Amino acid sequence: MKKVLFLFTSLLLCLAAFSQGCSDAGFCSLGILKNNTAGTGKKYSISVGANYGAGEQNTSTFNPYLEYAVKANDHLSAQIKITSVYATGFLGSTFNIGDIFGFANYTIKPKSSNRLSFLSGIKIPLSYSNDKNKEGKPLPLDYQSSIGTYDFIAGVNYITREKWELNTGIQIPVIQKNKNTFFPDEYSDPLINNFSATNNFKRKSDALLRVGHYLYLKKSSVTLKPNILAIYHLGEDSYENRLGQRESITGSDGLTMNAGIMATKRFKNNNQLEIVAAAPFIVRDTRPDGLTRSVVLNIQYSFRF
Amino acid sequence: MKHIIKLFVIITILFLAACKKETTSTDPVNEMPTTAAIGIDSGSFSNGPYGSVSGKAKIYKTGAKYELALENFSSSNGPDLKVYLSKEKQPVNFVNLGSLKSTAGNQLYAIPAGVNVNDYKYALIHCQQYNHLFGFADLRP
Repeated sequence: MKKVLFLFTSLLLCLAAFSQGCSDAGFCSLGILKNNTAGTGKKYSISVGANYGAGEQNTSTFNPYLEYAVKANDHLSAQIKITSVYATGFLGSTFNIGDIFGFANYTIKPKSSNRLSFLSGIKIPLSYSNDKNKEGKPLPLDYQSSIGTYDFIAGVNYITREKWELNTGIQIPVIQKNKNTFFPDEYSDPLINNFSATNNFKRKSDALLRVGHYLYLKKSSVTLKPNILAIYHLGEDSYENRLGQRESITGSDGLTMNAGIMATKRFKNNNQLEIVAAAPFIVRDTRPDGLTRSVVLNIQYSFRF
Repeated sequence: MKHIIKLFVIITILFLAACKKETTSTDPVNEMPTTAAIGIDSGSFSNGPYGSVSGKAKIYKTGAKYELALENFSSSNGPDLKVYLSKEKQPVNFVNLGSLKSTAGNQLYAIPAGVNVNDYKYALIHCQQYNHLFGFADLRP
């Protein structure tokens, strides 16, 4: 088993070194679609977490977030999550509040080793995606804390014999309020041409499919979940050109495949620590939405009471 | 209840840290057309409903290229100011020439190839994010 883990981790690090992608618009790291752990009997939890992502042209993003969950009963729980983003790169640095997510999880047979759960929720943007650098120039979406869309999110999680996990989900932008005004030709640095114009950007939906396998390290009460995540972007995004006409962004649709591993440590007081590492190995040709990451690391601590 | 109060405090801190103004640079710019440039249409800026703008807008032609010059220009500041060539005073059919480089000085903006400058009678200083007109110049020969 150690060899398998070593190989998987090595593969992940190799992928991280050579690829760009990820493409999570939010739903991959939400509730049961991220990690569906067994119940604890505690009614409330507050989770504090942060993602680190290495993005396009060495843009680094640090993404702290807070999550509050209430369990109504063994079947039903509701969660709220608020995100923020600090982004820094050769165009400057920004910090802003990101999105607020509200969602509910429902599990049909919570005590069964074969569990089927559903998630439904919304994402509300808390910024207009139009932060500027210190010279007042618009920044690409890689530097923005939100894509500026009001989204509907739905997903299904199925765990069989506490061994295998299957997730599917969809994230649909319902209202587009992106006010980004970035055109690369407003900068003189040639590196800027790696970013697409995203003036009044409009985004298409995403679908996800994830397969994970649980490995229990009983002595240390740690659970490992290596997983493969596929995200399909269901159409080409678009922007408004300098003549006020909408143009599709060629190559912005298609498949992103990620390999990831999640470690979950449950403490005696039922608090929980999660660590996630993920990297893509198949990517879309063009990624104007700024969700590009060559590697993502996530740490989250949950207080339960 | 203590946890909820802590959560509320953290969220408030996050909001306050993120609260900032997005404004155009106030450092004066001094860009001038080349001596070969030929002036075509021009007009003086008047204030729009949401700002104070003064100075002159003038279209120059150099070979096959066109530029819009803002001369002795000054504008009140705003969150997302753009320079437009527009067929109307309130932009519907327009060309977005880019972000306003500064609220003061002499500035040049390239007009994209293929744009017939005779079709656009106004130069606008427009806040794109909130669709607010700061100022306009009526361009005439």
